Amino acid sequence: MSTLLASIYGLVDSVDAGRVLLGSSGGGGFDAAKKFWDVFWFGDRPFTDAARQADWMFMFIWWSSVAFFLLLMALMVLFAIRYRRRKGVAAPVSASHNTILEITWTVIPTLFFLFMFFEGFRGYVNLNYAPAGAIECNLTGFRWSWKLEYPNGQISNETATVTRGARASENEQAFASLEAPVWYFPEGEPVLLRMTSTDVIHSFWVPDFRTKMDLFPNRYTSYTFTPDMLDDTAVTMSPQDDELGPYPYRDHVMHCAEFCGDSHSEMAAIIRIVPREIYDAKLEVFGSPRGTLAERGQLVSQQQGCFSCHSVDGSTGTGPTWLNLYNTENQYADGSMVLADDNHLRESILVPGAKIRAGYANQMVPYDGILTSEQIGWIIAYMKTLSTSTPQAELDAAQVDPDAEGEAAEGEQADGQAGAAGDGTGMMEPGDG
Amino acid sequence: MTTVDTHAGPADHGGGHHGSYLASRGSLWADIRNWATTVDHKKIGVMYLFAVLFMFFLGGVMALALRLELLEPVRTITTPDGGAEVTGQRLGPLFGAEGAPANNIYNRAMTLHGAIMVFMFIVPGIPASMGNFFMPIMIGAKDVAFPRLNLASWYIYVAGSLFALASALVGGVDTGWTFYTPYSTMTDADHWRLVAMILGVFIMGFSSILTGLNFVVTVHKLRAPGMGWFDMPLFVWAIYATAIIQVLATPVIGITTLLLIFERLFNYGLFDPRMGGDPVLFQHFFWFYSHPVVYIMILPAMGVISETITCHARKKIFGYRAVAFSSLGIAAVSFLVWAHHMFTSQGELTAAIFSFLTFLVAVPTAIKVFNWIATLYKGSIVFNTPMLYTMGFLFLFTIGGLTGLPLATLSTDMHLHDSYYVVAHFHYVMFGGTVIVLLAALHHWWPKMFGKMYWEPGAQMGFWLVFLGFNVTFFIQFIMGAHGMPRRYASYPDEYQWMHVISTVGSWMLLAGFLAHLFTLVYSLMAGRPASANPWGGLTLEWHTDSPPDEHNFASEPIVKHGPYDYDSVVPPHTEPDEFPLPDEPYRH
Repeated sequence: MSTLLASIYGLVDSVDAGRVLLGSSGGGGFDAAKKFWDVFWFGDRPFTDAARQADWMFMFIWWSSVAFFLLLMALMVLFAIRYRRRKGVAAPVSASHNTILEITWTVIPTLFFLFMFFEGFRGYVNLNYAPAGAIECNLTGFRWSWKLEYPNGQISNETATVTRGARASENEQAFASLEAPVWYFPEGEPVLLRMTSTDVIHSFWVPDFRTKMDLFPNRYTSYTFTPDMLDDTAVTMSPQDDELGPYPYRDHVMHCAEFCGDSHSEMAAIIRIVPREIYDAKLEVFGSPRGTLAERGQLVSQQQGCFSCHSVDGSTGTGPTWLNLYNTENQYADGSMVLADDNHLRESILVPGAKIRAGYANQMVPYDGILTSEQIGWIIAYMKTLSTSTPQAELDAAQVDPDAEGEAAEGEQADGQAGAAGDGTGMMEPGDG
Repeated sequence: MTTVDTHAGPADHGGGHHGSYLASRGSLWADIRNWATTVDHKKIGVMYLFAVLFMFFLGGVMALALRLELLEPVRTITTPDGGAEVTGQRLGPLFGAEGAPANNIYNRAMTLHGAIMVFMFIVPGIPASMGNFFMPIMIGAKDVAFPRLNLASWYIYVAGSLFALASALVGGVDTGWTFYTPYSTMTDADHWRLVAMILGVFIMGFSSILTGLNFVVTVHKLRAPGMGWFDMPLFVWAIYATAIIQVLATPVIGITTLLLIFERLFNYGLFDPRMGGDPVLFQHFFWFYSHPVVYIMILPAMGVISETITCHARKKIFGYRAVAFSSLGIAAVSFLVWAHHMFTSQGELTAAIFSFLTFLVAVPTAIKVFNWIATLYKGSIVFNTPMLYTMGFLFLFTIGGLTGLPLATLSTDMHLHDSYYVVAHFHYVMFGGTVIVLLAALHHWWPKMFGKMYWEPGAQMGFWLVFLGFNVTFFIQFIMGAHGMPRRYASYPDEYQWMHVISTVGSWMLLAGFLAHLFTLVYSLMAGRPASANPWGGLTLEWHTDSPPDEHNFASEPIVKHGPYDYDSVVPPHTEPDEFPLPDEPYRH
């Protein structure tokens, strides 16, 4: 009984939450209606531009479906009533096919489907491609939590409570809280997560951002989002709870969406959107700096002796140079052209014999079991600073300015990191093998 | 014109034939031996029917247990050492595992529910039971092409089921019914539990392949004289298309499960990334079978609907050829869409191609729905239980189909994938497709199968409970999923609780509906009114034999003289089947 009562309280609360959201709209009738359907379907509004587009797509399909469904069901009920069997009334004779009708009802849905496919693909690209200058982090999923490394190599040490079973009755000993890691990101800035898993498949889902992506062992996938600026949905962090307070913030819960075992349902995290200066301060707070991903990559490369074969200045060694290697296409021994992207570089480090560059012998040691996924991620981040060709730069070149902006931004980033590396190399810890 | 209503029941049957297939051999032991060694497709169909209904019962118990568990966001139990544990209190006794990690109990029940329902209920469901019983009769054959193989298929099915259920008895498997690697190769569950479950699936695959093979040959070789391909009832077309998928797709799951067993036992490294294997390869293999499975399940259901809607509306089906060809079209395209289960785990180009192909399969499906509704136009519609279920199917399947569109669309799928939205969608398709249609078929053909009329008011009450209960249970899950509730969660954030409560209450309504049906059908066997040979006034061949049918189906080989749905040309406009009985001569085009 207590269960049912508790559930009804839950119901009332949720409806109230909906009303509050509706009431806060203040816009015209259309805005209010739109907000209603947002709340009805998604519980909340979308929090990125790409998510707004996905929602628009969903609503288009929803309303087309409602129209088709009502039409079909109205016809079914109408026919069923109009032509129900009655004593003494003969069934009228009617045609059993009609070519024009049949072509019509084939072509019209097909057109709808085509539109949905193309528009859905466009939205998918928006959801999945990171804009230039995104904050790049490494994310590792494992049973049953997450490890997020910020660009400066730091890891958040904060957790927050996700309430579960807060209304469980008193004579049951409730597991009322779930401690989830809190990750800070600045408002309005694009974020790119390079993701991998150490054990099984996980899936990174932030419902507020309307997108998810699986994490695999031995493979990189990426997840990107550009959170909205903080607005009326933001709340204020009190100074008692956080030494940096008061400041506005907004939380988004993320879930693991791919079944991964016992505590699958407890594998959550909180993405906390804060002003840029709070984000910067947080990164300072999270312990003493241990270098950027690229710096760590450089250090690991030095430690592993990579530079005895690979140069970083373009000269040919026992192996190909790393200068401008990342994201360029190269000729291989079997005649194929292969793009040196994240996954290819990873493969070449772990299984060097899999693809041999034209003009080079298969001499490299496989680093499988020597380097961790994270360390390989660092090395790739380092290689990236050595290359003027990155996917972001290309995207910029294609979309914004053919020669200026993308490369400039990339160059700046590389310079900054190289400078930092010069200062900090001696202090850095070697990556743990 | 003569009446076909000549037999009041099996006892009244005279003539020089063997009598009803249900007739007793004298002693109980003789009956058991006779059924256990029978090669009669009707008996095998009935044996399949009871086997799959038993599996449905087991899977249903699991489903009710899961929903009960989800009434609250967390569940607490006290462990022997006095500590608190999350979840699993209500499910613990099912597995005799109160001490096990609590979420694990939920996960095992969830896996068992999925595996039982998919591999042991919906795959063999309609094709093996109704297909076995009615397909040979509907084409005027005495039996299937390979009767002994047919019996062997049933035994193989039972053996496979026993393997799979044995794994549950020793503690169960917690991988989910999809057995995704590397979880299924790494999970620390006892080897043999997982191997037994997968071996069970492997063995059941043979049953499916052999049944499909048997049906393909039967349709090709054993049609009655005069019956061309386009004189076949649409149920036969659907069973034929299904059989082709079974023969072509099932070997893939056989190979995949075998590879998984090898991987597990001998560490091949094919799917295990620790050894350079590719877990996505497993997903490709798995869905290359398991997507066509959706059509192994839905095509026979579509066939049943094509029969019930024409029979109970006394109307020739609209666009016969379109419906027949769309069955084959769906069967063909079903092989090309498997990777739409993997939009979040693969490259952009693959995702785009499979999104496009997925929309292709929506077209023939939409055509079928339009044809069925057009069939109602100017019909003579009677609202009995089969017709209610037929319209219930159109309602649920249309929702199931339309809610698939946001999953085929890439941008919206990135949000809805692996959420409760997907759970709701596939339950609308699979439950609305298989369970609802199996109930339509059961009531439509019950008089023919067992010679007794079911109790109409009780059955209609059952319909409303099932129909409403189903919608209460699953519609809210669309909203829950879009709100952000992931699937396969043993515990969940508090905000979703009110929706889970509605869903669980719906599952109790469903239970009440099934109990109502169980009661009316058992009651009809014991005290039902004897059925005439053709109580609905149908024109397909099964209505031209006794109820229940003669052991060899027909007294003499039928010669086809009219089409399966030629209501307008065979009989004058009419009002009641009893007043305007159909001719007892078989049909001709």
